[in-house]
Amino acid sequence: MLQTSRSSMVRPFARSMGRTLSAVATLAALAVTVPHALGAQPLPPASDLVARHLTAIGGADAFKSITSVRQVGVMEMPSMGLQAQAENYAAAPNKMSMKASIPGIGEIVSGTNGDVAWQVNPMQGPRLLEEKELVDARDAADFYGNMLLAADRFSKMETVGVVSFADEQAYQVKFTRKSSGRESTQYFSVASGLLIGSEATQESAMGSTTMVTVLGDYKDFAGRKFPTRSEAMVGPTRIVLKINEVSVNDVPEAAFSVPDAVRPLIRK
Amino acid sequence: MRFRLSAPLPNRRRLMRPGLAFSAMASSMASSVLVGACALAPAPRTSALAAVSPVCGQAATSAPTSRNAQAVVNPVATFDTAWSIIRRTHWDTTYNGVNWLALRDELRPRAAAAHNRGELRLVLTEMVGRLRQSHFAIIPQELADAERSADTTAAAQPTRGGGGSLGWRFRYIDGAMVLTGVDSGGPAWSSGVRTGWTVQAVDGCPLSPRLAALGALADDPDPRHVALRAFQLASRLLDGGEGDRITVSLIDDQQHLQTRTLTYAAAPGTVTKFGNLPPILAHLEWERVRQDGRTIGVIRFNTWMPVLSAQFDAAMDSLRTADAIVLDVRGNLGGVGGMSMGIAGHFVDTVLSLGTMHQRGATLRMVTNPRRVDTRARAVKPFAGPLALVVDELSASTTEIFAGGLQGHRRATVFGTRTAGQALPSVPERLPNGDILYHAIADFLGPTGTPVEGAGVLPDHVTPPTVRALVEGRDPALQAALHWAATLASRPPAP
Repeated sequence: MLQTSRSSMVRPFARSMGRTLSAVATLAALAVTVPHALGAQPLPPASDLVARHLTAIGGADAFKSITSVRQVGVMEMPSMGLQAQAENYAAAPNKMSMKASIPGIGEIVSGTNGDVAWQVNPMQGPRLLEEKELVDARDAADFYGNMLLAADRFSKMETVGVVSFADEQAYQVKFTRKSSGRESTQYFSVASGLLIGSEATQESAMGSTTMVTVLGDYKDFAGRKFPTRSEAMVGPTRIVLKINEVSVNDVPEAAFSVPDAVRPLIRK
Repeated sequence: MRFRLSAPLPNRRRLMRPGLAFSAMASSMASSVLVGACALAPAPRTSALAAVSPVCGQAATSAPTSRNAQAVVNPVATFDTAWSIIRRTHWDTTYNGVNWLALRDELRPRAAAAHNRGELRLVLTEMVGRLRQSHFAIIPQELADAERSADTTAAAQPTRGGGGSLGWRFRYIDGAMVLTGVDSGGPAWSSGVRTGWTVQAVDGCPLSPRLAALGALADDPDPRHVALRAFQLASRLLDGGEGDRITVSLIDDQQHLQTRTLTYAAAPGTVTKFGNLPPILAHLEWERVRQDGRTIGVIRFNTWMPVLSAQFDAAMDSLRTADAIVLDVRGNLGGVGGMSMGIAGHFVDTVLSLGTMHQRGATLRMVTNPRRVDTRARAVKPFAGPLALVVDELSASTTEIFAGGLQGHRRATVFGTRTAGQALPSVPERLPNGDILYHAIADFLGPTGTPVEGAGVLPDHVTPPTVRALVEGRDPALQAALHWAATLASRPPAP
């Protein structure tokens, strides 16, 4: 099992090191990219960019008909040689859970049922998320708010410029979430209209980190387009996420059950 | 009674849309694995070690399993990659005083001229060695991709396999390699070898001249580093696979020379593979010890590999009613840093910072997760009784983060000798030629704000081993810890 996983990842990684470093360099350069005007045209409002993105991925109505999403993929951390089989579940209105099986570590799970949020991993044990982490988990589980980038979820949506992002011209849009005040920057491709990345501060018990994510390889699943590849930079570490399966409206309620190891932590 | 357990990344989430859901898990992985801190790879001065570690005149690097002689393809690409990774990820933009650009100009032509892997590895090793910091090394591909655990400190042992056990432990004491423990029933014990004996020769090759040469190296006189290099040398020479045979000459407690031919047994524990790191033999054992009318739980584990987490949790379940706990982490060279937060959580009822990682663009705290649930999903309280840690100069990296953190919060009292002082969070990254660049990505400061790198953890009670004590069957550090724990235990003695 271990050898299978290594042969499928590590060696190709070694062969493609040049390309990989190029990608890393691109990501690293994001922070210093200088905004510039796209001709003399006024910047489109953020709501227009969101609408254009929704159209490009299949239309808002197609996504409004979804009540749950299941995604299966592989998460890789090339600098460590780690690879995880990962599954993500999300359901309306505010549920989410994830699990990742990592050779040498075991299964890590996290999630929220809309009320409490949790993490369980073999190295650190179970814990309930509190304070900022709980707020973040609830933001993350806002099913329609996140999927549709719904205007009523944000106190501010502002297009601030056009920048080069991941070798593409992109509209840079600042979002401020109404419920938590959390700020993020989203990047929409000038050419395709698709959302191609984001930048946000990650709060955790360990502190704050800036996470830059590049999205790509949008593919059609059940008439809707989902990004199947994302590359994230967390500090100096690059993490590659590849989604190979997406299904909708088939997530069982049990996917959001509080794990047994977490139940004793919930104050009655 | 002694129990041996044989085997089997935290989380953060953030989701702007279902397509980004994996970002949460990505962040989760980063927060655990990013803090991977480990001193399992070769020390930065392995070239110095190699210089004094010929196997009876045969250079260690000529081992048949080594790929040093293989022709190297595009060595500049590998050199440039390694150089660039460090340039991009080193937390200190002064590179510890090294002019990183000038170093590339100096070494790149030598890399370009390398004819084989061995020559390229020497250049790369020199490059990372110039930083004079722990956790920078080149791990040969043949070690990283090996099927079994083996000494990772130099080229593979030329005549035997690896990963077997003779049932003994040894340390560098007063210029000699002394047996600090012999397991009853093991190959060494069965042949009459006892604790306190001193290794004189291996397969007819005297050991003492090589140890003396290590101590005489002028570039790094720190006695802890000398002890580590000596340990690495002896580990390599004494390594072997199950069923292999070795002839060892030892000085016994009567100062007589004893020569034994021993057959390696299977080593206890589980061989585990964690990402790009070489296979590692992970082993945990625990026991209840009666001391001054109290019951003390003693847990020993040799590495911070996640495969041991469940075993540690199970041991704590069994020892929850003990009057005190002693963790013997002597010789524990480190492992995955994130694991220290979970293990420490067994002993604290609040979230504490074991210290802070300072990496480029981010500062992260290593925080404990109070363990309020047992392995059967029942509510429990973290262990609140006395906690003693036993360390030595081979306690490194994650072990130091753990020990220094709990000591800094006065939750643990530390016994033994000053730790290695090698505690930089690091990652093992694959290079184009297949070798692994093991490189630190952060500095680490303990809970009081002082660096652990270099200084290490100074025990509250310094209790070094002596040959005399070992021969007499005494373990000064462990005995001091047990006595302290029993004295401090709040519960009345059992009738």
